Amino acid sequence: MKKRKSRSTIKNCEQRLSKEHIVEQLRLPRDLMLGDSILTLTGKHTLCIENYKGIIEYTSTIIVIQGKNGQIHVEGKNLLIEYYTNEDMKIVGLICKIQYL
Amino acid sequence: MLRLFRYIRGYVTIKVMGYSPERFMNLCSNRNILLWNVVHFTDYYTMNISIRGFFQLRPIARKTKTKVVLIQRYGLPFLVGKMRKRSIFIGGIFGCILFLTLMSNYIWSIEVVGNVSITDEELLDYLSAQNIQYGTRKSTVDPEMLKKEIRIHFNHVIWDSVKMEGTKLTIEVKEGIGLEETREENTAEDGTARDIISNKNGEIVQMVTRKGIPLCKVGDTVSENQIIVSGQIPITGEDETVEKYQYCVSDADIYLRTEYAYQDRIDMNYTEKEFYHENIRIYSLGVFTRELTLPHRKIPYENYESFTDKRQLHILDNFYLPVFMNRRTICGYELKEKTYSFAEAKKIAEMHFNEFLKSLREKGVQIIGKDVKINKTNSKQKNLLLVKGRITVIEKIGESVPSKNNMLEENSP
Repeated sequence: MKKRKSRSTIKNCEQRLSKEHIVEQLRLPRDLMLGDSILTLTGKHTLCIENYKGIIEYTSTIIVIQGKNGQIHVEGKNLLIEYYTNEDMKIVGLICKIQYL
Repeated sequence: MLRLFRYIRGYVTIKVMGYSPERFMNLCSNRNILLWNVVHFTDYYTMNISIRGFFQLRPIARKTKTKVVLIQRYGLPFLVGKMRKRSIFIGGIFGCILFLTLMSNYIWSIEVVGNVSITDEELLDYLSAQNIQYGTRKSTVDPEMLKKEIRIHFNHVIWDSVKMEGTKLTIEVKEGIGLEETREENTAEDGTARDIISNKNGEIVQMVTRKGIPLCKVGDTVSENQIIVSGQIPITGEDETVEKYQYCVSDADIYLRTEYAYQDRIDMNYTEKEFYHENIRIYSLGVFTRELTLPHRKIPYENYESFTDKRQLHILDNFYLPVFMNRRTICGYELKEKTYSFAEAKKIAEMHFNEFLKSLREKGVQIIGKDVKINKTNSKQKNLLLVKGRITVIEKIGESVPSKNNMLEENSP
């Protein structure tokens, strides 16, 4: 069972690598083709995020966002979601750290 | 802009608590429900949501096992709902707008600017004769026509403008004195002769004749109405008889030494108004031409002076309304008989005399001598201070009058 799972993940990785290769070669936008999130950081107070799946955690000190290729941790103080839609969201507050997991 | 749009559409603030508010938010975004101002508190979240979004929340809340509580409503749809219960208030607003629009069709204030010799009343009387008065419909007033008519009616208005701003009619005039003089000259140049006559008794001290034949010379004493410069120039023939007269408009500067009699009497006894410290104020409210006096206390004074301060209600600078606020101040006084001391009376006499001299100087008269005496009469009935005297002045005189045609008949053979 374990073996089968590891085999499928290896297969997935290979597929992804080849996909990435094609996207790079054809110079296609990575966010559309690979589902990479776009983070627009203005100073350290405003952060706009596009291309994500949803929120996992939201407190005034940490916001965890589920992207299509992993999680994004936004840490800071007095964090507040100014708006939240299907396409993009805006976070305001004092942003200290952005971490990809 | 976005805020205004949101306000018009209406939105609510909700409180979300329960097992997984994050999942609640994700589901909202998946169903295209916009959330904004999402704030985290220790055990709940608050957020804003549109009205339409709010009605779609029930299945999401059930699915995520969260509880949604409405905290506050914002926007126009809620306001309309509230206002439905207050129909009189809304009616009042519309009534007010209707009143203002109706009132803006009429003139509620007339202002006259720049007039010196024409009084405000004179102009307003003229306007009311033209059917332009307080409360006239604006559409019946033609500013261009009115402008011309004012210039025709008042001769010495050299320039005027009629402005209608809001409900205020502003009439600006400029008066000139040059107009009448030029007219006089024009009428004189029609071939008739004009003499210069003296309008005072006195002795000529200086005389410069520019046109015409001088009949007097410097040093002569002239009496009133005596011809000084004649406008009829005799043309003599070879035998030194006058053949005919050439007519001209005589022109000369004549300075006359003349005397003015000055007389003044000052009554030493006088009554003085001694005002009380306390004033009574009476307020009244005027609408159109009616006036409603607000309750006030009775006037206890026998003698009083009253002055009214009238204020007209206006919105902005030029939108006057026919609503007034009047404040009448009543100052009561007591009449007291008093007597001037000689020094005080003398001071007043001097003041009067100086004012008289000043008015003479303003006329362009040169004062060369003053001879004034102050007498005190102390009869039983009256206690008077009499001031009598003569003032010698040098004054420019001369009045242009049409020449009488008798000289030719007398002198011609």
